[in-house]
Amino acid sequence: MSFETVIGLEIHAELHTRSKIFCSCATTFGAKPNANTCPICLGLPGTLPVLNEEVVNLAVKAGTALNCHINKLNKMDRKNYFYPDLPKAYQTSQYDLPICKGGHVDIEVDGMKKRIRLNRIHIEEDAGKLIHLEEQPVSLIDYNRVGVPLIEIVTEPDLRSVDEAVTFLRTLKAILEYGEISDCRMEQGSLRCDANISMRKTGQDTLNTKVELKNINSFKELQKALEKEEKRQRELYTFGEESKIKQETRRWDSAKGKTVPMRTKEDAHDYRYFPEPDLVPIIIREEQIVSIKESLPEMPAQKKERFARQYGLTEKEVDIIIGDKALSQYYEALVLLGAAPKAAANWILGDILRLLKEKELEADLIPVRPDALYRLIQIIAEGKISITAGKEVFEAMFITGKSADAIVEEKGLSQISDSVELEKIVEGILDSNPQSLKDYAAGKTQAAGFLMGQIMKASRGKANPQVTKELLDSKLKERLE
Amino acid sequence: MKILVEDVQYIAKLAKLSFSEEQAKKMAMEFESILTHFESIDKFDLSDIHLDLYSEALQPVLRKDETAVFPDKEKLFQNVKSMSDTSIMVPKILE
Repeated sequence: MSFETVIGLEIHAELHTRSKIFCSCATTFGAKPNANTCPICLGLPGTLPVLNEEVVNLAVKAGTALNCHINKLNKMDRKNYFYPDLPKAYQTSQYDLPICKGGHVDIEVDGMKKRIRLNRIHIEEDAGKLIHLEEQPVSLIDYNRVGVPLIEIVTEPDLRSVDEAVTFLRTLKAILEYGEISDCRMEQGSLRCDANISMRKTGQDTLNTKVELKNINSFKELQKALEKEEKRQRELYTFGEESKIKQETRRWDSAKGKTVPMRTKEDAHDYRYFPEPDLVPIIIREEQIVSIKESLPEMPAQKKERFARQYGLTEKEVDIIIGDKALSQYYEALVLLGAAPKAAANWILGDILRLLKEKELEADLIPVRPDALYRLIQIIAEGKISITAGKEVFEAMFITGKSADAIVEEKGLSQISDSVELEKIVEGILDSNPQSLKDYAAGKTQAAGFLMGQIMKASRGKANPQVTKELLDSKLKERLE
Repeated sequence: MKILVEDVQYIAKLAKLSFSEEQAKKMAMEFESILTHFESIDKFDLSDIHLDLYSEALQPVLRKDETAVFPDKEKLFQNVKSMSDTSIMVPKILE
């Protein structure tokens, strides 16, 4: 009997705003603990929240980019639970009237296109951060993240494999990044994902008991967590022990590389939602939706199609460059400066990606600016240095931040293309190798190769091969006449 | 809608409150009368009413996306029992 995997995802993305959702505290990451707090986000008595207009704009933008229906009248609700990451003891969220309904994202896995339906998108506030100290009976609370605006994107259970789930998240991340809706920095927690996974007999319509996996902060973790849980459930079904699968929430522990059950009380999920009495309903006008739709920048799917057409890149090359917004911007900047599209792609897919990986840097932190790389490309094109030397220069630019010219100068890498200087070397080699000259005259053409090698050696590799070859040919001709 | 004393005690537990049997009984009756009132509202047929149409008459209440620093951090945390540098220190609570 064959089984199929059923996966649904819930994605939390921090919205790209300057201030928090209900107060004017900054949303900047990495501030001193509790520096970005005020009486409103700390939920002190007597304060009133006021919704940030940019939160509505960005949520509508997300809904538009993800083909959702926008609810022109929607409202906030209170989700009640007690945990120290939430100073108000409730999270302001949306329950039965979310800002967006429905929608879909088209993904492509192994050349097959598939449409993944969305259930909804709602807006809510983020919670604070708890640091549990090792070997001490205390936890430290930092409320800077409390009230940072989030959208929660909920899919239908349409994903049928771990690969589809990972591809979906990648596709969604690219849309949110290109749309400037969220900065999607997974390592900083501004894009997080929970996954629901269950198994059923192929062809079955109903859903079986699902397990919820929480706390997933990277594509690799999503892949690993889902693969582990898929394997566990598949084995239980294969041996007829599916009754052992309980509806539960498991936390992905990246250090241990496995999921662990969360110690939640059985009634902790009874959130007693009710309408937020401190906020008026959210009203969205048709003109607002239209103007947001018009302001939407080029989305990854369109960009992909354009890159393939305009720059003549292969699908694989386009996928890698488009997959990262910073890379695609770098690429276009390089091409705009005048670099050949193919050469620009080779630099990015080769040396840039390799060095970013080695130095563990994100693509928005490439230390060599596009104009600096373009200068290097020009130096190579002019024949001043060889391509091999160019790669060496680029690495030095990447590490030191110096210009291509400065490094070529420092390392003495510039090729000798000056014919006067080259002529001297060539004449010298011809004078000191009379036997080779005789061999050449006797029709042994490989003698020219030997002479060429001697010239390169004498110039310590700096002779421009093309110019040298031409010069050697003409000198040989001269001497044989 | 019938509300039992057990329902009241369950909600009280979720809200981290405790009531005597006497108080819970009184609340059960009050809850019931409130919910019965809602039930009568629920009887209205509103299937042809579209909330979106009414939004035209309403004004959105929003603030600009501008930042400001709340200056008096000392006062802000004056009721916190213990702090470690600028972090709030609480007994370890694991989810």
